[in-house]
Amino acid sequence: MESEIVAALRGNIDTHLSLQTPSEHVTPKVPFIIGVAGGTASGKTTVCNMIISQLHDQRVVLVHQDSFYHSLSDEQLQKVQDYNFDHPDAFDTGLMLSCLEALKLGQAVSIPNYDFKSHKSIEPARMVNPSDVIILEGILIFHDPRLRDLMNMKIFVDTDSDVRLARRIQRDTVERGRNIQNVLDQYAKFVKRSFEEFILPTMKYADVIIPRGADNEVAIDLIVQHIRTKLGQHDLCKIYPNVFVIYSTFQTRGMHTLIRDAKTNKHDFIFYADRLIRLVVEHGLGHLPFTEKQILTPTGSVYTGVVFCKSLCGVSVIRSGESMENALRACCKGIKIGKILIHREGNTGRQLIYEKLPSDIASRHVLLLDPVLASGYSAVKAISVLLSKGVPESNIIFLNLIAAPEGIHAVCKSFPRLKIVTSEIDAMLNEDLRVMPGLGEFGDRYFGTGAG
Amino acid sequence: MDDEATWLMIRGMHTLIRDRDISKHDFVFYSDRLIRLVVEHGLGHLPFTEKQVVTPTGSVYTGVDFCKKLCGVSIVRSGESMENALRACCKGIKIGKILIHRDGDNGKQLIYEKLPKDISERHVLLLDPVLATGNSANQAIDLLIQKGVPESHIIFLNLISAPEGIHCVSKRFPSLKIVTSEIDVALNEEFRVIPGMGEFGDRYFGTDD
Repeated sequence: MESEIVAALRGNIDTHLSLQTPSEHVTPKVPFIIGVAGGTASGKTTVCNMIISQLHDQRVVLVHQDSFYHSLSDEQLQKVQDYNFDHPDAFDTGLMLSCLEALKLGQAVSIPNYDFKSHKSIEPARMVNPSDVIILEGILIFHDPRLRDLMNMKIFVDTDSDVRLARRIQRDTVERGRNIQNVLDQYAKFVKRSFEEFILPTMKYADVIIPRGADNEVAIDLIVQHIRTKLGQHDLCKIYPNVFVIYSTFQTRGMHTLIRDAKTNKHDFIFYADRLIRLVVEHGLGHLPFTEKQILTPTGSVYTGVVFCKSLCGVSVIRSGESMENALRACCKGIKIGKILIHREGNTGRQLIYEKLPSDIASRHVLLLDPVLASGYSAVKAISVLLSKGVPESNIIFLNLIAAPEGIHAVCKSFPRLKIVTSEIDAMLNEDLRVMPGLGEFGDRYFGTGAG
Repeated sequence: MDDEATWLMIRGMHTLIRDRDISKHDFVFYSDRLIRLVVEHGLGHLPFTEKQVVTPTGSVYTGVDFCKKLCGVSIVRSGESMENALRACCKGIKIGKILIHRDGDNGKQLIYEKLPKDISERHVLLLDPVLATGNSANQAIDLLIQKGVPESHIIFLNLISAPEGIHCVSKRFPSLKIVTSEIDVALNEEFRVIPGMGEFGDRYFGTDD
């Protein structure tokens, strides 16, 4: 049985390795491109951010049309107040097209970094990796038919012009320190005219028009659901109903940014890894079975709540998994924690050399701890050990910080009733079977045994 | 907090801390765990900017850089129970205090405040575990606004909110954010939250008997 699993797994990994292009259920071949247009200060960016935060388990990249402004010549700079930034010719549409076409082919591109103070593109450019979803945002992105043809979905944010002017004044005077008379002059001279002449007419190309912009949560929910349906075949949580990605906020994304950064020092790495682990553990505990319970509060009223199954234990996969024990103990006082060590023996495959588990583990729910799920090879081994000790597959909750699609496939195909709780799903494994973009060798970074 | 597993976990902890028969030790332990989740969630509402980093595998990860200009303000005494969780998430964060003292039945009177000098440039996490009528919350928020903090820079964190308190605060300060872990049924005639959990400060600091 075990050898079958291992053989199947090898087959799985080999398939991924032999294919130059990522296999179809790992990375979608063609990203889904969404255009978000609308007048100045209509709330385009806010709408984009709401879509991004709701699509937290997908890889989404945001591209601003503003990045493609032509750099101004010295002559133009002298009369910058006469320059129309709201005209289609102000943008390098050819460059934007080639960037998007490359992204659509799954290539990384560098996108200009436009500086609003000097009105020039400055270094460094911004590297953008291929993603599942590309959101293109800007006032005039529906103007050029070649750009429109690249988009799978076109959204127009339709916000009342008085509201937009009020926001623009607020933004330019308060945030950009400009004088109100200049803002109004520019609005009357260019912004309003261009809106009527170029932007508003492109509304007819939109598939969806959002009235009231970012305040319209119903519209944004519907859009996100539609995107999810379109991405359906790539959504691992859809294929495997037992895979859960914890609720993501910009704070959790910020913590991921820190722990993934090669330049983050050991102290910060541990601090933010611990905070993320704590959230994964809390979330994982919510997947334990529960029963309803009524209690009396000090005010004498009845509160109908829940109690969770108390018969549980942790099992950490040595060494990285041990980094998760503290968070588990912080949530479950005195919890029993077993260990499994899976040791690599050259290139001949891996061999299990150590396990120490609670003797009554068969009657417990098990939280299996390993921060990075890569190929899934050692996870499958560890789970097989648990099953051989009599733990029912459905009693295992596997907690990790980062999971590669390959690992999820390997584990979920072999053990469909086990639950995986993770905080982010990464792009893929590279040829060395390391998670990309990943965070490097977790154990070395956490325990300080790396080369640096 | 909107996914089902987290919701259940939160419900489980509420079942423990609301129980009048729970020990002080367990009350503090589970309150702390809940507070930690509320704080983590509240931090997720801070502004951010996109940031790209290179991982040790040499690939680029597009993430975010979160706003570092922030501070906590706790409403004395109950709000102070939330300071540890905030410190555990934000190393070395500045924490101001506001004490609002009830002066008999003729309204409330503010008697003490100590806030970071540059508070008007910071995002403020206002800490108070129970939002009941909203009167003291409104006074505290008024004070923050008077110190120059923009209303939209305030995130009010609590464990339990009564609908009356939410109406009272959100009507007056529509651009402030409230992050809470459960919304209760109502206030009773003594302005206590029902079902509620009793006097939070007394139970947390052990001054109830």
